[in-house]
Amino acid sequence: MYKDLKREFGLFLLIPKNIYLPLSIFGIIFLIFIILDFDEQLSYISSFIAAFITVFIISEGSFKDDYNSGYLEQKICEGESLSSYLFAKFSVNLILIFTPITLFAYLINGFGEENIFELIFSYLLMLSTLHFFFNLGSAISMKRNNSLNALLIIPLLIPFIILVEEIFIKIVLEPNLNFLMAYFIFSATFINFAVIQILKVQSK
Amino acid sequence: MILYKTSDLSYEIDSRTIFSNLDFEISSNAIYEIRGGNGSGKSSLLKILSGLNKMDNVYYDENLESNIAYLGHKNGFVEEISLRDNFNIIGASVNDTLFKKFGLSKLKNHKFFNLSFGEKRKSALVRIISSKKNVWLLDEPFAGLDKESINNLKKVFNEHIKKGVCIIMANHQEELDESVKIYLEKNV
Repeated sequence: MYKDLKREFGLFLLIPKNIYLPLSIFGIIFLIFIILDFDEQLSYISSFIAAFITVFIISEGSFKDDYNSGYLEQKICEGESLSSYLFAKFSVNLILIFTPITLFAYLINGFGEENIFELIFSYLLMLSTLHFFFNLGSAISMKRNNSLNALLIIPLLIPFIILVEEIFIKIVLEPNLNFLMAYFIFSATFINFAVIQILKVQSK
Repeated sequence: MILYKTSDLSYEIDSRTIFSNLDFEISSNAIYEIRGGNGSGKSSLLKILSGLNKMDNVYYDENLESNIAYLGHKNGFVEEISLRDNFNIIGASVNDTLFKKFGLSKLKNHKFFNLSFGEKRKSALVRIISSKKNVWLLDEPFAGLDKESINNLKKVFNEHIKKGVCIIMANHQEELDESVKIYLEKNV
């Protein structure tokens, strides 16, 4: 676990584009929506769309570099744990990408809401769940070098989008936050299990 | 100690037989060379031995798990960072003696993409040699190396098998005198 965390943090800190590229994409898309001057309610939709596109773009290359360099094959053949590899990737993204994106989104939208901590927590849950789902698409398309395959998993996100709309636009936290947590747990366990199996098959 | 034992091992990809009826035993303290032409299944056999493609008719020693160091066709390093950083982020020790032996000492701070094919291969081999693992699975370890490096590598191999390491390599270059050969015939 420590070895994987060290590698993933090392890669982010030694290659700065891994941090500033996602933040720039998010910032630019968000800025475009601000210039378009939507009303206040739609600014939450803007931040969702910006986050959705950002996570989609950064997840697209989640495994591609490690596959192309042979690191993934080496790791699997040496019998190392892929669960800790995925956990390390998630942790790095959560700390260095998702948290700054969340703070940025709320800095623009304002911290004036009544349930601000629940909303920030929901936003992080939303980004994490998107990350896991897009990782599945990334694992499927890793060998074919075609990121469009990742779009195949978008239908799985339709209930998730409805939940997100209820939480961030209608601000109805009960019971939607519970459902969102259930979605997160499902993606963190079952989807990651599927990703591990797909990575093994792809490396054969 | 027997690490692997196969009986009547066959392997197919998309209904195409890659190799068949393979019987051999692999023990520690020895070098094994898997030999055969292109497409004869050398890399596939290495992946079977690594446990990635586990087969029913292969006996795997129970101590093999997490004791394998694997080097495939690709080196497993990140191109955008330096050789030293590549070793540091995976927690591998930067063994100065080995770096010097393979002529890599002056390249430690160079970006990996600036190294030549042979230098990259030697770096990956240094990772394997300093890994402290007892079974080395190497896919064409001599590819891209100059004569001096090949001789150095052979010496290192001989030093390590005396320490109990088992080296299994796919190789279609010059044969090693001291190795046990496993021949694969291409099924046309």
